Amino acid sequence: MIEVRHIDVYHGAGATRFHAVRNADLTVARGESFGLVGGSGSGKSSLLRVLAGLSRTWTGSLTIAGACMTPGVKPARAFHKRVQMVFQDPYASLNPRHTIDRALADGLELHGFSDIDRRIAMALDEVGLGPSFRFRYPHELSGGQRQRIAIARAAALEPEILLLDEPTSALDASIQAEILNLLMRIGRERTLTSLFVSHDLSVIGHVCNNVGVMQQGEIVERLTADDLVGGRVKHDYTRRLLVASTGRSV
Amino acid sequence: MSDTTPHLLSVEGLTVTFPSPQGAVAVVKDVSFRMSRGKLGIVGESGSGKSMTAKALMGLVPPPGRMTATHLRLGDDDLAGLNPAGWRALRGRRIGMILQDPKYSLNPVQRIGVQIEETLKLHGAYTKAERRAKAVEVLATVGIEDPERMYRAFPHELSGGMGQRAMIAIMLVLSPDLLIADEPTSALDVIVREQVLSLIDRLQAERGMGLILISHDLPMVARFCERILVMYRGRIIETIESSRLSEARHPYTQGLVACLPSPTSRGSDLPVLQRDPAWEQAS
Repeated sequence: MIEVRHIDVYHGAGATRFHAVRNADLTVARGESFGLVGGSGSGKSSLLRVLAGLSRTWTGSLTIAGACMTPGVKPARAFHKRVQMVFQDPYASLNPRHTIDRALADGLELHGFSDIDRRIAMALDEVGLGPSFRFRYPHELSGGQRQRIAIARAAALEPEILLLDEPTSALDASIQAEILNLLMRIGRERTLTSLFVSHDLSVIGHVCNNVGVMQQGEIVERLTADDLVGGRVKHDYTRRLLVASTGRSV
Repeated sequence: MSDTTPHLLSVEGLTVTFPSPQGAVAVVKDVSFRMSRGKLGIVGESGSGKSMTAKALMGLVPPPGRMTATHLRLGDDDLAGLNPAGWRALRGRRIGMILQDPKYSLNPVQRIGVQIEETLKLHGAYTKAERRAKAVEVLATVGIEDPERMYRAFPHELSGGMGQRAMIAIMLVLSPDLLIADEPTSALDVIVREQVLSLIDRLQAERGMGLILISHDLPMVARFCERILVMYRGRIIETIESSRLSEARHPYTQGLVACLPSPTSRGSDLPVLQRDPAWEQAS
């Protein structure tokens, strides 16, 4: 479903050009949930933005949802229907001047869906928010509710791939649990392929099948989530991450 | 804790209210606790009043908020009736505070050294040379390898972890009795987080100061502190020893522990916290 071969990502140009991702390779099968972990600046979000078609300064070869992407070329609109993204900050990802109804309707209209009314009601229902939320503004919602809206907006387009960039990092632990349950339920019901970026190894271990560990732009280790939670890790950096995020020694 | 140990900080009936058209709204309700020169954690979710409690202890409740307490003492000093000048004399010298993001706490147009010396200027009669020597010394204590270079650096030249070390240096230069760390590591990477926490841990042990660590991250606080106050909607609903977290009695604390993803939760739904309105009532 996702085939990444020898991808390099750069930010800036000339002498100050920053090599954010180095020679990344990864394969994600249909229906799989793949986790990408690493510290700040490890390149995990840069790589995710390439997959979302939001970055142009990359080289290498990428096939995602059957589309072969060309570096520097903006993908066709239909691509964004099949590949949707949910961002970290639920406060920043919704337009404060648009009602929830408009936030959801925009994407549906843009991608030529019919009976938008019914789809919005279904999308809200799917994420556990009632019809009463439909004509509210983002500022009337809590962080967890806004993240539900962001997930509803992505899921309403019936994408094949969902890209998640730290979707629960800004949320309280009890709300994180609700959002993770929601994401796992949507994944199960729709055979969705997802790529989950996080710095929290316990979250990744909970939701993913396979995991890639990034350090300074490189994928330094690939392992199954079973090995990750079982502490069967090979690379020293993965071990340090595991110790730091769980407090138990490996 | 026995009553014979001298308390560093004792708080009774601490309440913070904000006026609203419907009357005063309490965001911190009747909070009471005592601590010695050890490590105390305050845990709660957004809006639980944990940061406002910290601000109240520093005399920094923003207007139009009002802080009242039946009893608020730091060592032998009564803080309950302190005027603004009294609070200013106390902050920095007796109580220090580290906030979440050094990017916002540090002055972006002043060198780190100048910002450390500012505390010394306000509170002590030091000569210029003494101030400089003290600033460089405290930078070395917080684990900075080249303190002279750090002294001259501007905040934008520092990484998150280095910025937080500089912030700690500013707070420790006058050896306060109490350090309040409000989400000191939430903006940091997991590995840097451990480094900053172990630094705070070492400094607390070496200097024998009291430390209040405030965070939403219950497992992190439990690893770090001896005792935890759990706050919910402005109240302390449970006080528990970190080592006995698994024996928590309050359903909210139990829920907070249970909702975290763990190796055993893999592949199944996480327990969701069912909030009970009764938790908001004083017990």
